[in-house]
Amino acid sequence: MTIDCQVVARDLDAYRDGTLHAARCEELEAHAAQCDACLMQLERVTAGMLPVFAPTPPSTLRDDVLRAVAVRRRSRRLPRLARTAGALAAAALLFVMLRPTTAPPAPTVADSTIVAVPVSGASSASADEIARSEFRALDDAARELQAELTRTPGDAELTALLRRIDDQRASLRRQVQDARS
Amino acid sequence: MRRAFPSRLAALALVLLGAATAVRAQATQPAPMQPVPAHLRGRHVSPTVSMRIYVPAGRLIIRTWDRDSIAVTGTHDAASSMFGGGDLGHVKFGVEPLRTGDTRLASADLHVTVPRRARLWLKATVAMIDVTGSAGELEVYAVGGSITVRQASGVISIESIDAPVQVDSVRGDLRVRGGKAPVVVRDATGTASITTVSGSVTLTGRVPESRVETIGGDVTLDATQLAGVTTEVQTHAGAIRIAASAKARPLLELSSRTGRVTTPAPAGAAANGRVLARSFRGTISVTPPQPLNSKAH
Repeated sequence: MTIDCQVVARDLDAYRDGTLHAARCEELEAHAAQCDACLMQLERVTAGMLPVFAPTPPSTLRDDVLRAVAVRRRSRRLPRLARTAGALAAAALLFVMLRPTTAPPAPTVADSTIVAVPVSGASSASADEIARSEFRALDDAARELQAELTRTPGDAELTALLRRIDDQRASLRRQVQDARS
Repeated sequence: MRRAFPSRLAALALVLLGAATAVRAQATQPAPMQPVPAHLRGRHVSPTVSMRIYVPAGRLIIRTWDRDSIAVTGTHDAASSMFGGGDLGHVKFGVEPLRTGDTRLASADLHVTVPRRARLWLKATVAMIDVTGSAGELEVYAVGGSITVRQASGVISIESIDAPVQVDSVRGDLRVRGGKAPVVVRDATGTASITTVSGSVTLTGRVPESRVETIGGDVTLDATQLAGVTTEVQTHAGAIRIAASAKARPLLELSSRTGRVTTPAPAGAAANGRVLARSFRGTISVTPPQPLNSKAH
């Protein structure tokens, strides 16, 4: 069977791609051997072509493909959306369960234009602790004055001093109470 | 291919485990809290508006202007929120914990501008309070931190347990009730009543007609500008140091029950002012003015 130049032109792409039937390939090459124009076209399209490695498919390919399709079908029983939602829900649940339950750190104010005073762990309860030493100082002073007063009973100056210490104690107590409130 | 699905589950479990670990790590490590801006501009008020400002922790800066309005700028921490309200004559605001039952101090850094004659009531627990230029009534309460009042006039009342108090260039009636922190008054005119327990008291520059009482706190008095002024100082155990120049020495009446009194002769003249200093067992000394200035702060 001989082919003409139009058939060669039509089959050139298939020839180049290696999808042309072997018998047609022989016919095409025989025609090109006698036709310079077709030979030139054939050489042009095959220029730079590399030999193609055609691996032999394994004998188990068909079974493997069918098995993979079956597994994919089973996995599709749980829709992708549901799986994603489930994962998100689980993550949210974990976040809620494991989020910090302890009090957040002491506030620190910082600003680019106003530099704040950092405060750490201060609380109204500390007013009692701060005032404790002052109450102690007042008590010590009062004891000292009372001891002196027993030695010099009726001393007006000592009595006035004691009264002032009482005033200061009352004032300090009020300040601590105000701080608590 | 059959193992792909279980491996995806394992990957998901690993991701969740990682997220949980990250959250737990976040729980154990304190995360920095971002400050939240606080703004209030141009709120119209009376020139003598009565203001109550409450900032438990942080910083409160008060400035005055000749306008009938207030402005608040600054930040508060993310765990706090601003509260407040009022009308032309009364304004109250401050910061409080965002969550009910939160025992931590609400913290803010506020810069408040008020009418010059506004009546101010400021309360803090542990904050730096700085007031400049007020001409109305001023009341400041703080446990700790610091209190500074400058160029103010009128009735100024300061109460603090552990906040150092510094008063500079004021006139009017000054009342300070301190605890263990030092009180420094510089260039004050009018009258002053200062009481501490163990905190020291220093009066420098112009000294007002004043009465100073401490239990254990030392008192340092610059008596170089006392003309026409009487200053009474009384301590239980605190030392009293009086700086007086030889030329303008005030009339000194000094007595300590068991402490030592060191006074140069002559005692001075009433025209230069009068100092009555008494102590139960503290020492009393009169020195030239130079060493006093170095001990002023």
